[in-house]
Amino acid sequence: MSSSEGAPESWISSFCSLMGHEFFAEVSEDFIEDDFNLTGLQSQVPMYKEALEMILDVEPEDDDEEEEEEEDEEDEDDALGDDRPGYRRAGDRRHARVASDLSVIESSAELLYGLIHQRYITSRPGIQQMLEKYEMQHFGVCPRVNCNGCKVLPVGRSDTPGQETVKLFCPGCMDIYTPPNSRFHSVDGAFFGTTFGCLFFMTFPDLDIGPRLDASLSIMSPRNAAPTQSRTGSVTRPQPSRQVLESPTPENQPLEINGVRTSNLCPGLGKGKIYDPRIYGFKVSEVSRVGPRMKWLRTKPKNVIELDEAWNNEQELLQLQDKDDKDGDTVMKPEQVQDAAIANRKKAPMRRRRNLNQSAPTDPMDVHVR
Amino acid sequence: MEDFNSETDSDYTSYWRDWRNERMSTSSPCCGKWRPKREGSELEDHDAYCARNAGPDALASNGLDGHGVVEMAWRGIMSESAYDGDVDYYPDIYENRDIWTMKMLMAIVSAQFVSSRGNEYFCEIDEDYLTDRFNLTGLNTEVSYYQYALDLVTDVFDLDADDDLREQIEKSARHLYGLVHARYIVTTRGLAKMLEKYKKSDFGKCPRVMCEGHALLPVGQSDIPNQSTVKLYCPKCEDIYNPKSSRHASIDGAYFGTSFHSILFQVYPALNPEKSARRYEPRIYGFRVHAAAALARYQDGNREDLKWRLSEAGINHKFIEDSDSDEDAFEYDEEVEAVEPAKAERVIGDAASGRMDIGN
Repeated sequence: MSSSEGAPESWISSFCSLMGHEFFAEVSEDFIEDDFNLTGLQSQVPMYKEALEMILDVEPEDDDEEEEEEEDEEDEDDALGDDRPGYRRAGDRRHARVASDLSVIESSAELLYGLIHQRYITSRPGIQQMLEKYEMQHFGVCPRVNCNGCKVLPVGRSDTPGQETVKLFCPGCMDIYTPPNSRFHSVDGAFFGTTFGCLFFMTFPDLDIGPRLDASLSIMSPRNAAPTQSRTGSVTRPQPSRQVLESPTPENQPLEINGVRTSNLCPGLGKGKIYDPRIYGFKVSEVSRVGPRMKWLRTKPKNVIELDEAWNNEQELLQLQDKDDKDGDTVMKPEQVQDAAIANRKKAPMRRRRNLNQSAPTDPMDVHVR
Repeated sequence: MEDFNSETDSDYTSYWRDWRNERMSTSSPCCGKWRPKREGSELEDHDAYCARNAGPDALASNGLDGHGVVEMAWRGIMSESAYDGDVDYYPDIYENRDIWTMKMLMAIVSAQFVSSRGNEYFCEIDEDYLTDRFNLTGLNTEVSYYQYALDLVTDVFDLDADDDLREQIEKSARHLYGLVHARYIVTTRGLAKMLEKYKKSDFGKCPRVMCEGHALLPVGQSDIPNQSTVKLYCPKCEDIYNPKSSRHASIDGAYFGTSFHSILFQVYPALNPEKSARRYEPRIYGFRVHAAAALARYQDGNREDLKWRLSEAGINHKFIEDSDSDEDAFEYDEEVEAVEPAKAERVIGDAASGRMDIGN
């Protein structure tokens, strides 16, 4: 665990350098030493005090000599504490007990560190540290082809430890993915928490989350192009620069929509980013028995103003008013009435939903950030 | 992985895998890793191999070409057999020369370098299919050294070519096999074979958390070779993903084609998984985030529209709804309410779909 070159590594840095712990940020000791940050953790972690001491690499207090020896032995076993041979001799007789205790404390320390970590990465220094890791692409990229290698963040699906392992949140498609490497399949998701993913992108709204490799991954990433080229070297043709057809967005797009910069609102979704199954070049119809039924999940309005529900509501109200006025003046022909009825019915589910959501009590969970 | 060691592996796949491994092994100066296996299986072969390695001139003349090793080893056996005066044995070996070579290679490498494989996605093309010229229509313009490559793939190759040429032919053979593979997997037998692999999750599992590790299928983004690498299609979320292993990331997508997965489910519609409306909701301290929630509502609206369109067409499509947590409970009610107006049509739609089912 400790580096062999003499200077003992702190428990935190050794923990973070362990295999599979690459996602963890190193929590600063100041943060841990502030009792306020540890509120409520005492009841969640067994052997809390010992675990905390282990994390901070502190020697136990001097008032209880036996305990001190014990603790010291543990530290020594772990090769974390200072090498003070004077204390060694006494520890030997209690070795068995110490060893079992040590493993308990060790696991408690990991749990405690994870829970502190969950809080730390939502704090100012913590989120900054995660930003550095994010920018260095420590967490990997989105496996989805149409996200074009969007960088991801580790998140949990629960804030309670022991429920689910860590997942990767992609801001490009607002979805979560299982880490490709199995060594992360044993890392608890609660150590990152549910909050971090979204809070991160709200903290850094100007961060460019767009496609990292523009169109190069969608054709053939340069890394992969080389072997393929040599493999099929006999037929070398210039790589067609098949730039992904960017959907022509209307000119007067708002700079910001619902508190997110328009360019950062799910750049991996919307027209041109939805997979279209084809058979011999022909699109598969959605009314086919096994036709595509999941395209809605990747949709985004061409004009993002459609996502501004208050604006939508206003427009609808205006339309209704107009209609009322017209109805007063002219009498609709029967076929017109029928057409209007059909049009209304078509829009009914969607509009109904929007109206419902607009009224306050249906959606108390929304945070409107402006 | 297991099927890679098995005998059912395609001649092509195993051949080229072996060829690669041969290359890998011969490029390292020490043959120590091989020895135990070789001694166990083929004593003469082992001797021949060592003799070859011992002679620097032999190395120079054969270069690092894996096929060269086989040739040398083969000659070693031949000469030794002849030397021993085992006359009866000799012609027998000679007749089955290619099979022998293959068997030898397989015995040598089957247990080693298992992890360095990249051909898990391919299935074995029937010999009959490969030898039917109709199935190869148009490929002669796509593949250089077409005839030699075809001979190599069908195991009747006996040209005494030099290393460069042989390497070229081997490349072409791989390319040819891939292109034939794209055609083969949409045939009845090819579909059945790929289906077996799909059922075993040989192509991997969907990385999307909400898909709960659904099995994937290989897909190309283009039917023209050298355009894009192979991707993986998840039938549950109907999206495509990059393979997580880099060894798969270098396979050409055209070797699987764009149509394969759609055809598979058209042929086996019962296997189409139930689609789920569950999604990830980003939250901050338990509160949903407006931007994401608004987009989710927009998408849910699209889903309802789709349902409506489908019911118009007489199809009653159901999504698995997410109704676990408390917050979602009222959302569910709201959805029921929202769908209410379409209910009249829905009933008619149900009847229609019922008729359709009888028709099927």
